[in-house]
Parts: sequence; C-alpha cells; structure tokens
Amino acid sequence: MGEFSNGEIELKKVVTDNQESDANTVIEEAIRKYGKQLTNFVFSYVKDWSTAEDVVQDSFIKAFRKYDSFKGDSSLKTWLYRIAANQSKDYLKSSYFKRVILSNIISTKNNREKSSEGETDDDLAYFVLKLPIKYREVIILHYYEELGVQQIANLLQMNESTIKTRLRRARTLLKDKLEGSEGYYE
Amino acid sequence: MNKDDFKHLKQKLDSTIFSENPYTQSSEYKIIQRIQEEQQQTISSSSMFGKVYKPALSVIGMLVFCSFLFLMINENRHSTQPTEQPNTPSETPKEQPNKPVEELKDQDPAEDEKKPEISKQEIYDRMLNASTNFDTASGTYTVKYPNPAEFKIDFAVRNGAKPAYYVHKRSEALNEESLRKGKETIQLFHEMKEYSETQHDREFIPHTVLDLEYIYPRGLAERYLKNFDEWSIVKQMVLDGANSIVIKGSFTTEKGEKRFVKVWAHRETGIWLKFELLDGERKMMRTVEMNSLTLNESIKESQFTLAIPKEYTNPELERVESANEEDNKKEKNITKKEEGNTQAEESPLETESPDKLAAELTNINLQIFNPIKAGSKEDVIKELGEPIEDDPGTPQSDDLPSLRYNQFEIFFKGEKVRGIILQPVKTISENELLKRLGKKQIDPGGLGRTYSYSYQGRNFKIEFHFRDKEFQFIKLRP
Repeated sequence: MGEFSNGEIELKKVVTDNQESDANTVIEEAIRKYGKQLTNFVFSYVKDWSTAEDVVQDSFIKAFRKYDSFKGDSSLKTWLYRIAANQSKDYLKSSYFKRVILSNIISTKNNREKSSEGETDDDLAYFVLKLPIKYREVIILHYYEELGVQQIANLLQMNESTIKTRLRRARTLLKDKLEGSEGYYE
Repeated sequence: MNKDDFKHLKQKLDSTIFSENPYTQSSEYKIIQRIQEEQQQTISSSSMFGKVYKPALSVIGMLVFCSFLFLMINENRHSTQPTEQPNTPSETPKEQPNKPVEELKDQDPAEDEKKPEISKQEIYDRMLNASTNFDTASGTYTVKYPNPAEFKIDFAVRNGAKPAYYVHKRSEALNEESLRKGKETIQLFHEMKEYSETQHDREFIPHTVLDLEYIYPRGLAERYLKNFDEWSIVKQMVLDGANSIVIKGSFTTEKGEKRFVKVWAHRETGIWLKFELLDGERKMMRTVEMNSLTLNESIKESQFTLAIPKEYTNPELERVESANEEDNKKEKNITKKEEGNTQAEESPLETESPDKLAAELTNINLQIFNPIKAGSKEDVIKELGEPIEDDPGTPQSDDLPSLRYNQFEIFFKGEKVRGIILQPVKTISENELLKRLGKKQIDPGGLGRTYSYSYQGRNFKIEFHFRDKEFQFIKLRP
C-alpha cells in the first residue's frame, strides 16, 4: 500500500521525459486510464452516478485548463484525485438549485435482507457511503484506492495526524453501525 | 467486525455499489470531445509553452523599457547639447521587439491587391449575422491540429423558416466519425466497433453548433475580433473564386499568452473560408480550410447518411434491452393474474404532471422545495420540520441550505433538518412510462435514465434511478 499502480508511474514518465507532451495527450491518456476509477471516487462523495459522471467530466476539463500549473510534485493521478475531490465538495456546497424533497417521513425499516452471518457486503458498502464526508473520503482513499496516510494527507492537503485520527474514527463509526445497526437509515 | 473486513472493502465496494459504475468508452469520448470544444473556445495552449514564453516576455519587456530609456536619455542630450552634432541625421527607429502583425510577410498566392473597401464594423457585423446573409450553404472543410488530429467535416445548412443542418465529421487519427442531423447524433467508434445515438435538447441555434462555427462565425468573431484595435483588414483577395477579406490580428489570452490570428472571411456572407491560429512563437495551433463551398443552392440531404455496421453494438442499448426484457417478463406475470378479473385499462395518452406521476410511482406526496426561496434556517424548518441531528462532516455552504440528495436528507449549516428514505417504488414498464410521458426524449446515461418532456408549456426532466430494476428514486428537474 502507499503507491499508485504501475500505470501511474509510466504515465508520469511520459510527462517528464517528453517535454513536447502537451496537455491533450496526457489528459486524454488519463481519461482512458483513470476515468472509471475516478467516477467511483466521485460517486463516493455525490452518491449519484449521473452527477458523478458530470463531476468527473468537469474535473478533467479543469485538469486540462490547469495543466500548466501541474508541477509534477505529486503524481498525475494524485493531482487528478485532488481536483476531483475539490470539485465534488464544490458540487455538494453549491447544490442549492431546485430539488424535489419528499415531504413524508417514511418508516425506517430496513428492507434489505441480511445474510445468516448478520452483516452483508451491502451493509458495509452502504455504511461507508453513509459516513460523513470527512470520514468517508479517507476510508475510500485508504481501503479502496489503497493509499498510504502520507499520500492521503498530500491529496487532501492535511496533516498526517489528522488523517490518522479520521481513519480511526471512521473505523469506529463503521464498527458501531454494523454491530448495533437497527437499520440502514436513522 | 475486524480489521480484515476493511481489507476486503475494495472487493465489497466493487461487487456492490461500484458495480453500477456507468463509465464506458462513450463517457471517455464525451470528455475528450468537451476538451476539444474547450480548446477551441478558450484557445488553451499546450503545457510547455507558457513556461518558455513567460520568461521571454519579461526579457522583451525589459528590452522595450531599456530602448525607451535610451531614447529618453538621447532626446534629453539633444535638447541640452544641441550644438554637439548639428548635422546628424535623425535617428532611425529601433526595431520593436513586438512586431505588429501587419508587418509579417504575407505568403498568400495569387493575391488581388485591391484596397479594402469594407470597414471593420461591416465585415464584423456580417460574421455576427451570417445566417441572414445566405439561404443555404454546403461543402467541406478541414480542421488540423498539430497533435496531429485532423477532422474533415461535410456540412449542409439551411436558414430561414425551415432551418436544417447536417454535419458529417470524420477523424482518421481517432478512428471515429459522427453524423449530426438536427437534434440527432450518431457516433461510430470504429476501433471498438461500437456506436451511440443521442437526442439533443437544444433547438437549432446556428452559431452554437460547434462544427458549424466557421459557417456561422459569430462565436469566433466575438472571441478573436471583438477588440477592433487588435486586428486590421490587410487586403482583399480572391480565394478559390470567392471574394475574401484578409484579417490579421493578435490578442493575449487570459493566461497572458500571445496569440496571432489570420482570417479569410467571405466578403458577402462573413463565412470564414480559412483560418490560422498561431501561438506566441508563431507555431501553428490550428488551421481551418474550406475545401468547397456552395451557396444558395438546394442542399442534398440524402447524402448525409451514416449506416451503422451490423456488427457494431450500442452498450447503452444493450443495457436498456436487458432491463426491458425483465419488464416484459414481469408484465406477462401480472397480466396472467389479472386475466378474467378486470378489463385492461388503457393508459392515458396525455402527458402527466411530473408531480402526479412521481407521487403515484413512489406512493409519496411530492413537493418541490426551493432552498433559494427558503433562504433561512427558520424557513427550512418551517417547511420540513425540526432538525434531527448534526452532521459536521458534510460540507456546507455558508449562506444557503445545502441538500444531501441521494438519501433525501436535508442539511442546513451542518444540521440535518430531516432524514427521509425512499423505499423501492411501484414498478412500471418502459412502454407504459413512455406512453404516459407523451412527447419525450430519452437521455440515456448511467444508472439513471432521464426523460425530457413538456408539460403545460414547460420543459421537465424526470430521472429514474434503478436498483435491482426497481426505481430507487426519482428526481424532477423543471
């Protein structure tokens, strides 16, 4: 854990070795290489696939526009993930346009059936998505993207100790939810 | 639960929530296309250019400043010591580092050296209103980029009461082609042997169609020629039999990078017959050349066809078809049960109110809540009840209530105002849905499907998101 995949290393090499590589080539390659993963990552914030696709699209456009400012301090993938995380948070902050809200409170019954072991894959996955964003993002980056604490700190531009605290707290929250779960929703 | 559960979280997420990731090759294509549009619109440059150019600009700036200082000092000397060199001829002007574009050597062949008889304003206005300057236009043009993508575009357009447009775009480098007929686009991805069909919402607004921007160059003119001080008409010439006005200019991008443009505009219509965009080092960034142009003759619509090869597949369609098969199976089961009991009711053909339809399908009364109108916390609480619990982890806007959408939870400044879940809702077959929506357009994308339709003169979009082939939730977007 701690390093992005080999594909990332190859891409970075292309950028540094070939000074003529322009934004088009690099971003296009990144779209093909990381688009799907990035959509998962963004989905973990916005929780809606069509929105996730839009945010990913905007993230690549932004990366293309700002490619000049990419200094290569971090890997291209880390940089793209940082942009996508910020775009997702911006979307959540600004999603104040008209939405349809259901006016009835529905019962909190959990319709999903549990396996004989009690906890299902669904449960854990859904509880991860239900975590507050600051915990959700570190869990996804650490356990799904398989990044180390230092890399997450770099990506989210935070202290390593903050990331460690959040990871610990996120694990506790998930454990509590799974063990004492009375249902998927409160 | 132990640490090992987290070790397998990746697999768990992949096999559950992330298994519905809708990202396909067509998503990639859409992003790449948007980047190309962006490139055309903002004239973004390649990455390395800025790094080289900025220091060079500083040096040039310093040289200009030094020349200016030198001239000032000299002038001062002349005025204070007029007798020292009484017979010295006036100093030849120093070459300016920033050569104006008008001084560039022109390499146009077969030029007609007539004096321009048209003003900047006149030709600019013709570009802005090109659609009023001809009835029909058809032909072919080529767009080249240095990377080395090249696009060949066949087009035919008709203005007036019955506007129409057809665009067939091909790229050998990308091994793709597309055909746009009005609101319909077919794209073929030859390498993957895939195709896609899209219905566009937008009505025909000539200058907003990207692949027709040289025919209706309003956007280009506003982008490159808006500032009349930055360009000049340098000559009038006949280009491939068409009277053209040759324009040269330069401008600085938002990033502070210099660009040079050269335009051959059709004198009578404003159509751009040829276009060159150069970077600060005068390296070509884009060239466009009209290979043929026919004006005011009936357009041959029949030539714009794009056959989808039999072996090509549409990934979106396959997904929908598999969902429809499930629908049909369910319908058959329901019909069997109902046989002999009641007569089958006809679905109403009229378009339904989006609220009513969604309410029926969800069994829940819906209301449209606009948090902009309900701008204060008190308004939100009045509308939706008391908060349940805090959620400090959700990013909040400072001055507007922000909604966490997916689970229909509403947050305002960190406080959850109300938590609501939506259970699986009534199942409806796609055919019945289409009947009830009346005039619709499907915008397939991702897990959800969006139907655009008109109700009481207003356009609505209704999105259905599926999970296990049942509607998980519905989103209305007026």
